[in-house]
Amino acid sequence: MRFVALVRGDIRFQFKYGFYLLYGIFVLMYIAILQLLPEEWKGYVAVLMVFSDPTMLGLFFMGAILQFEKEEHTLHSIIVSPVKVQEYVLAKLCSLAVISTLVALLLAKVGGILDHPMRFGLAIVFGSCLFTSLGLVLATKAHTLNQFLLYTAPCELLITVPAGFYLFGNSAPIFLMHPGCSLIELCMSGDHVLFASLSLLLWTLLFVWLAIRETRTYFSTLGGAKA
Amino acid sequence: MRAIFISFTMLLRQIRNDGMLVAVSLASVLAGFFFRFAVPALERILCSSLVVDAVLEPYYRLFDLLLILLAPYMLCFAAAMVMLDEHEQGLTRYLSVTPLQTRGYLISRLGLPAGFSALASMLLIGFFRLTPWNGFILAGTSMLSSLCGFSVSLFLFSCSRNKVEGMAMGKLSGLLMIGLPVPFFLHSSWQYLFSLFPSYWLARYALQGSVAWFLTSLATSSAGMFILYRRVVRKLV
Repeated sequence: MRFVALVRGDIRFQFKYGFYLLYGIFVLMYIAILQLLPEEWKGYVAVLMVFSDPTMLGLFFMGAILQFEKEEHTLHSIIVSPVKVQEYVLAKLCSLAVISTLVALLLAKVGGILDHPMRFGLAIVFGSCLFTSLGLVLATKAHTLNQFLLYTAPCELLITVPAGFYLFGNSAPIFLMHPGCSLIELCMSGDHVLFASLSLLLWTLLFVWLAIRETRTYFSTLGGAKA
Repeated sequence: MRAIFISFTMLLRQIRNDGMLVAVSLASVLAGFFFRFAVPALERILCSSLVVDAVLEPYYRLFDLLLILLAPYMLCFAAAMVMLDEHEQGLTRYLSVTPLQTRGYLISRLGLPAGFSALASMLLIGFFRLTPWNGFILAGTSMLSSLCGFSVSLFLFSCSRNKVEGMAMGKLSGLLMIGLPVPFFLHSSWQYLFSLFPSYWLARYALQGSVAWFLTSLATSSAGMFILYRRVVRKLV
């Protein structure tokens, strides 16, 4: 019940600060672009759009969300409440995964790559959780928002460059060890879905664990409270 | 004037401490290297594999324009984020009653970064251009791109109540640049759907060099800035 309330609160926060409006506008723009493209390009471009935007939104926004909650003393209230660190982190992951998955499903439908909606949806949920966790880890290390943006830039390169290479160049199975490539494989319904799922799941679990650990350490520095 | 420069130095120190100043410079230079060396190499590979004369070459001017816009956009984005931070801390009201005043504060936070970024754009194009540039058109294009950056920072600051909204608006502000590729890809009269965007007229000016397009871009930028400036001042005082 407490966890559901946290997720609901986070979704309300995202709605209030324009995430849904923003992605509504972006979905319309992306759909317009997809409609203008030749049929044979649509699938690739849709995968690229899904991968680079809705799936990675947590990595982009997490720094601002954490800074805001710190400045508004929301975090100070949370750490003295019965809410556990893992509940706080999982609520953030789930709430951002909702918007990621909705946008990704819409784009996939228009791009004609939604062969297995359940599998596609799950892949986006895991991918979103992975990138949001990474964003949370970086946000706990950054002192300012500009610093957070700076930290995310090399991570984005490390994630997107091999994934782009996998999508347009070499799709050897060894690349599926990389989380971005395994996400691309799942979105494209490739030949190595099982291995890609396993790889993505392991990466996600690792980063969720890291996010919980780093958030616990971060909380312990706030107002002298113990998490 | 002295107060404005001191305030501008404060801004530079702040974004230098974040590492953002180094990042903006580094990102611009890296992008310059990429456009100058990787794009022609990619063009050669594409031409030989697709057996055609040109794939990317007709769009080299667009790559130059992207490079020109990069420094103003990034620097003005960083400056707007600093302003949002200062506004959240209540600093902006204090600064507006010092000798700096509201106008000086805005010049130091938004005007000077935009002005310097125009110079940076010209320097970058000097080193990394893919197409030949007439000095007069380059100066005009850099000036217009700095005005685009200035508009973005006004938009970010005036439309965001905090940094979370600032990030959302930052993402949305990318749409203000949507006019840039339009003259390259859309040749029918549908392109005039984008005529309200200064970036559209900027791209046409860079392509055709007509003073009329320069003035139209200046007029659309000024109209947007006039509306946003009033909102920013209302927010500051």
